[in-house]
Amino acid sequence: MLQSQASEKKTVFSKQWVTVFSVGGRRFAAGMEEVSGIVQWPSVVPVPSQTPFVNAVAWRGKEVLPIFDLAGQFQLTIESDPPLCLLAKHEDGLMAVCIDSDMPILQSVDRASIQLSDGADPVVVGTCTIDDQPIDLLCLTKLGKSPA
Amino acid sequence: MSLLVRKSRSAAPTNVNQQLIVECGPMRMSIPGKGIRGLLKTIETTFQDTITLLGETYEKSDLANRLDPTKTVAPFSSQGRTILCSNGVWRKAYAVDRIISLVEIEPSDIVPLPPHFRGAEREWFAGLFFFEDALVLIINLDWLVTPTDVVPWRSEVAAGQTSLKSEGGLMSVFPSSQT
Repeated sequence: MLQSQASEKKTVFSKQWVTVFSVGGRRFAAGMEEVSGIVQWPSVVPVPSQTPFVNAVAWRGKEVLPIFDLAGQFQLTIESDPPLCLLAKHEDGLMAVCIDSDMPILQSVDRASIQLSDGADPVVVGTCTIDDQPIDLLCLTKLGKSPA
Repeated sequence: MSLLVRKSRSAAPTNVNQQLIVECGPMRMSIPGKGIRGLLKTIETTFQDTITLLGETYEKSDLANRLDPTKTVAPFSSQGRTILCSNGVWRKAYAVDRIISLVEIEPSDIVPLPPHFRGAEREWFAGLFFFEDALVLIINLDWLVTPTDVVPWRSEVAAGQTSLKSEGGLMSVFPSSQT
């Protein structure tokens, strides 16, 4: 019995929950703890900017949210109308990301199946296998950071 | 009818600043009222590189183009206006697509540009505020009028601790706003 519980615990800790979402038809995963929420796409105003992929802000009530153009970074086009808004817990504060209208899912992945990259890219930290397909694992807290 | 819209909450605002909201393409931006010296119809200045008003000469530019070299304001629109701006040291005239409103806002209504913006835009914009359920970008007056090849020489100005002294204000442009 004890052995069984210990075995279960081991199983629990070897799993990681990720949010799987799609942008322009391509699926991405991100740690569940890095996603604050999924909401309807809000009103947006463009902001002339020299920061790569950050060139608009959205607002919810009186809260101003910078928008990260994930589709632009991966040269994808979002055709969903209306898209959804993923609220990412960026290290500089909450950030909005435009994603496809397909509702993201929570998925547990085996930590052992996650292949970490060499660390040069702070955003794409590795790949994980979901439904037998490799999916880029993103670090949403580092969106916009350049590869070393 | 006055352009002025008062957004301040108190009946007798003491620390408000005026912002002239303009439209450039899809963007709404505001120019601090303390830096505005005059307004002209763009169509009347289309073929001029400089504008002289009350003995002072303003070099003409396109605001949309200053922010994004791939964009320009519509040159022959009847709604287009050219705004004469100065910070007391430098002068410049900017064409915009149209004037939306003149508003008074309190400093507490101004939201800083989120820290995620890390480029030159931090120098271009002094913050944002809400107007008619949308966000408006406040243009940094000193950046707007200072020639691109000039570096501020006063350390406190460069550090953003004080602004350059202005010579006048919107009151002379919009007499009705004094009431």
